[in-house]
Amino acid sequence: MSETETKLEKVILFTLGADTYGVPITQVLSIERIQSITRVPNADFFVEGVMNLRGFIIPVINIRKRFLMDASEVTKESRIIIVVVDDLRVGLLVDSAKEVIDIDRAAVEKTPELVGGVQADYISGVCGLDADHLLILLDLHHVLSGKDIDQVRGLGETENVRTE
Amino acid sequence: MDMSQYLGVFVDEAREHLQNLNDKLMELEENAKDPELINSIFRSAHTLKGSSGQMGFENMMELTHTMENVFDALRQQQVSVDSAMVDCLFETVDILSGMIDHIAEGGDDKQDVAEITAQLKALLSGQKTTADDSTVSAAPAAEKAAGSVGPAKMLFTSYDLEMIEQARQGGMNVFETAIVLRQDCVLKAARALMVSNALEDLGSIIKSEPETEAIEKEAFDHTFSFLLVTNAESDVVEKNVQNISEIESVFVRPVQAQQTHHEEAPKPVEIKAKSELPKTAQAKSEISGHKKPVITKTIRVNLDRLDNLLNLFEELIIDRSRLEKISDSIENADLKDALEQIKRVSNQLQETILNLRMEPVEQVFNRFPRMIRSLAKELNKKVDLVITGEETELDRTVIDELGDPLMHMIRNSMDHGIEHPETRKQLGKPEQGTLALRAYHSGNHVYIEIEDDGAGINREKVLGKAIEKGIVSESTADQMTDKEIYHLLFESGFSTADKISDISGRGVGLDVVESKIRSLSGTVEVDSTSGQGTRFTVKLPLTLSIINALMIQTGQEIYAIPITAIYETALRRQTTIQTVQNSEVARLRDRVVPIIRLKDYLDIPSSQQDEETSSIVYVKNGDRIIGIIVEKLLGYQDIVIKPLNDYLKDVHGFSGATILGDGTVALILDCQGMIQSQKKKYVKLSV
Repeated sequence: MSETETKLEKVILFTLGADTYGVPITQVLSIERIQSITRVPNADFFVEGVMNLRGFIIPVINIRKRFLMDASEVTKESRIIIVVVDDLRVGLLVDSAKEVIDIDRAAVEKTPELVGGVQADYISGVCGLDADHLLILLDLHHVLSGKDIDQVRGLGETENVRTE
Repeated sequence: MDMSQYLGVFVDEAREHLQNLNDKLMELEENAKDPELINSIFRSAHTLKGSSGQMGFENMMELTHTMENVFDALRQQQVSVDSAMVDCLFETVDILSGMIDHIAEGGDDKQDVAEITAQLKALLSGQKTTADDSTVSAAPAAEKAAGSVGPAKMLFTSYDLEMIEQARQGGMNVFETAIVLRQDCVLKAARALMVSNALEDLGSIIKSEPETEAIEKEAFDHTFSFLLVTNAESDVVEKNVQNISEIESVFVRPVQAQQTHHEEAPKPVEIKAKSELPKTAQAKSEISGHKKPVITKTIRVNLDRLDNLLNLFEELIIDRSRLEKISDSIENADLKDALEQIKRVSNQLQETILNLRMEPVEQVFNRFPRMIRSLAKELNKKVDLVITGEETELDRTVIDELGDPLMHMIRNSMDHGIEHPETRKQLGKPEQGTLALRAYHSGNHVYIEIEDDGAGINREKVLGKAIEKGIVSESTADQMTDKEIYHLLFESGFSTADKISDISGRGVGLDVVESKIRSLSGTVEVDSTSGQGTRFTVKLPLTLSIINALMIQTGQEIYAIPITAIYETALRRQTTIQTVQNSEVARLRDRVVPIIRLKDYLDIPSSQQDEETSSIVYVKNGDRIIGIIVEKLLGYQDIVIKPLNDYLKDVHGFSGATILGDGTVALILDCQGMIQSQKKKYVKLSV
C-alpha cells in the first residue's frame, strides 16, 4: 500500500487553449486571480511584467508566449500560478487553473513524441488524463532557465525581441 | 553544561575584543609607555582568556593565556615594545580571529599553535635581560622596596569603586589581597578556596581576579587576588592567609577611595609608596568620566529581526499612501487630520527604524590600519594613515558590503600612488607618504574619500593604455576631460601597473569596485593632480530602503525617479531642443545636455503626439546631466525600494521597483545607467 502511495504525486492542472498541463504541487505557492501587471521594458518578450504579491515583486511569465503559441485574451478564467523554483518566485499566466489530482509516477511517459518543436524541451513527461485527453507535465526548471532563450528567439518570429 | 546557547554572544564579544586588541596594538607601537593602553590590551586579552575557557575552547585559552603573559610583562615593564613583538602579537590575534571564524561556522578551535606559542614565549624569555634593566630604573625599584608590588593589580569598575567607597564610609577597611601560590602547588583551586575561606572569616570578598569560576577551574597561573572588606587590620589578614600551606607570598594592599575628584587632595608620594593601585583606578574612572560619559544600555539584536521590522514598516508606508489617496478623493477634514498625524508619527518611526540599522563606518575603517602597516612593509614604503570621520554612520547592509571595494582602492593608492621613500626624497616630498581616509555626511549621502599624496595619475599613460586596449579610440580621446580619462581606470581589463604585483594590478579590481559601489546605489569618482596625489570619492546613499522620489507618467505607465538623481525639472515648451550630430540636445543655462524621450527609451505605447504639455526632468550623475522628456509629473512621494526579482536581474534600465498606494507596481528608473548608456552612445558616435 505504502509503495503505491509514494508513487503518487499531486499536480495542479491548468490549461493553455485545448491542452491540459500539470505542475507538481510542491512547486506551487499559490494561484492568484489576474491583477494589475506592470510592463517591464527591456525584459524578455515572454515576460508579461511584474505584479505585487503581498509586498513582493513577482515577475509574471506569459506561458503562451514562452511556448511560442498564439496569444489569447485574458479572461475571467485566466489565472497566475505562483511557482517557486530554486528560490525564485515567478508567476505563470495561464488560461485557467483547474483542480489538483494525483497522478501515478509510473504512468508517466518520458518520451513526449507527441508534442514536437520547442515545447518538448519544457516537458518532463506525459500521461493519460482520461480516455481522450493527455496531461503534459512541465519541467519548470527548464521553463524558467534562460539557457535556451536565445534558441527560442531564433525560432520565434516575435516583434518584441530585445533590440540591442 | 550545554554552552551552545552562549556561542553567539561569545563569538560577538570575542570579535570585539580581538578588534580592540588590533586597534590598541597599533597604538602600542607608537605609544609604548601608555599604561592605560596596556591595561586596555590586558583586559581584552584577559576577558578573552576567561570566556574561551568557559566555553571549553582550551586551545584558544592556552594561546590567549600565553599572549596575556606578554601583556602582563609589558604592564610590569619587564619587557619593552618593539616592532618584532608587535608583529608576533598581531599574528597571534590573527590566529585567534581565525579560530573565532571557525567556531562561528560551527567548527572548533583546533589549530596548531605550537609555533606561535614558542614565539610568544621567546618574547617573554627576552624579559630576563630587560627586567634587569627596569629594576635599575627608579620607580619599580621604589615600589619593590615598599614591598607592596604584588602580581597583577586589580582593575575596578565604577560599580566596584562605589562598593569600596561605601565600605570605607562605613568605617571598614578595604584590602586587595594578592596571593602567589608556590610553583609546585598541585591543587591550586583547593588552595584558592582555602584562602577565600580564610578571608571570609574576617570579612567579605566583593571581587576576585580572575573571576570565581576561573579560579574554580584552575584557570589561573599562580596568582590571584581578592578584594576584601573587613574590620580587621592588614597584618591580621596577612597572617591568616600565611597560615595556609603552599603559599609563596601574600600582598595586602589597602585600597583608597578613589573617586574621580580625588585630585583635590593629591598625595602623590604616598600613593606611589603604597602602590600603583590608586593611579590605575583613577585613570579608569577618568576614562568613564571623559571618554564615555554615559554607559548606555545596549542589547544585541539579530539583524533578521531588524530586517523584518523594516519590512513591516514598509508595508505600513504603502498602506499610508493608499489612505492618502482615498482621503484625497473624499475630502473629509477629520480624516485628513488623522492622516496628517499618522504621517508625522510614521516619519518619526521611519527615522528611528533606520537609525537602528545605522552603524559607524569605523567598523570598516578599523581593519585598514593593520592592512596598511603590513602593506607598507611589503612594498618598502612609508605610509602614514590619517582617518577622520570614522563615527559617520551608514546602513548596516551598506557597511557589510563596503569593506572590499575600499580595501581595493587603498591598495591601489599604496601600490600605484605613493612613491618609494627615495623617490619621494628626490622629489622634495617627505619620505613618509600620507594616506587620508575620510568619511563625512552631506545631505542624504555619505562620502568616503581615499586620498594619497603620491604621484597622481599619469593622464597620458592611462590614455595610451586605453587606446591600446581598444577601450577608447584616438579621436574620442581628444574630446575627453581629465575626469573622464581618470575614470577609465574603472573600465574592466584596465591596469597601468608596469609590473604585476601581489597587491594590485591584475587588471581585475577597480571595475569590480565600481560595480560593487553601484550595486549599493553609490558612485565613485577619481580626481588627481600629477605629482601631488589622487583622490577617490565614494558617494553612498544614507539608506537603501525608503527614498523620496518624483513620480512621473508617460502613456499609461508610471515610473519613479529618485530625488537624489534629479537636478531640476522644466516645462517642455520653455525649452528649445536642437539636433547635434543626430542627437537631440537642450540648452540648460550655460551647458548643452543630451535629451532622452522616455517614450522612445522604454518603447512606451502612447497616443500623445503633442509634446507641448510635457515636462523635462534633468538628472545628474557626477557632473553629467541629461534631460528626460516625460508626459506628466505626478509629484513627490516616499517610496519603498523593492529589489527587482532575480529572474529579471539582466533587465537594464531600472534600479528596483516600488509598490504604489493602489497596490500596483511602479519601476524605479536607473538614471545613472541612463546617463552611462548615453555616454556610451556619444562615444560610439564620435568614433
